[in-house]
Amino acid sequence: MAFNQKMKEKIWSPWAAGALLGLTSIATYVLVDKTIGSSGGLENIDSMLLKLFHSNLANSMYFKFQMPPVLSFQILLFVGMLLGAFTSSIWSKDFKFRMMPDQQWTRIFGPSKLKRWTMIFIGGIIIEYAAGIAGGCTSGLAISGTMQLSPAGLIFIVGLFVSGIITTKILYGRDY
Amino acid sequence: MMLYVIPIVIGFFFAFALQKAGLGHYHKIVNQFRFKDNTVMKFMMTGISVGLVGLYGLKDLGFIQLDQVSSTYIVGNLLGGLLFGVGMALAGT
Repeated sequence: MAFNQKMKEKIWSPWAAGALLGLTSIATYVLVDKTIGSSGGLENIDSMLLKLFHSNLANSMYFKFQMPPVLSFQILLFVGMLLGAFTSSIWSKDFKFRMMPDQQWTRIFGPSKLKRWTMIFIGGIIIEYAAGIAGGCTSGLAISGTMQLSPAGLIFIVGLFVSGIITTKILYGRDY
Repeated sequence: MMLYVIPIVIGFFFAFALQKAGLGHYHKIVNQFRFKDNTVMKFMMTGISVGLVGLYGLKDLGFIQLDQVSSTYIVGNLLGGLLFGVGMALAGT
């Protein structure tokens, strides 16, 4: 069956996957009048944790009104995202517990797991903090924002690529 | 009930598209910054183009109102973007 064959492919053409993303965003707007984003949900979870541990930060304006401790749209989106990525990877037999990236990392940075995990942890902190400053992440601002012709998304993409290219150049050095 | 089901279904298709484009892999993200593999750019631009045509078409036909436009504050967006790129290149996610 052609459909099953297609689903078993590990990697689709980026154009096809991108079209699916575009259609999903349109459906989101029509069905729930929201845009797809993923960094905000984490801050709702933060807000819940702060409230749970009675931190003073929970009373700040930001965590009280901007990111209230409720089961928001984006937290539910996370549940769906886990299911979607899981289904996709199981179907194409791409699912595997990885301690290290499959390709490239070991050749450039050596086999140290600690180095990889430290870098991904620091990178993750920077990503979430930056998403808080900018008002969205790659999906919430760069894709969903630009889709509505918001200048914010375009400015964000410019910043992202400028510093991304410079950082990669510094990390890779001669191997760039 | 539908309030909970719809976001989960949307998330399902969103992550499905991401996984099928191969964006769960470290090398896909970092090689975009090295311009060895333009998957991220192609994926983002297709998503934006398809969504843009659909959203503005539906808006002009009167089915939806574009009232969720991300707010622009140039310094914040730019600083956030610059910091975001550093994290993205470090973590490769």
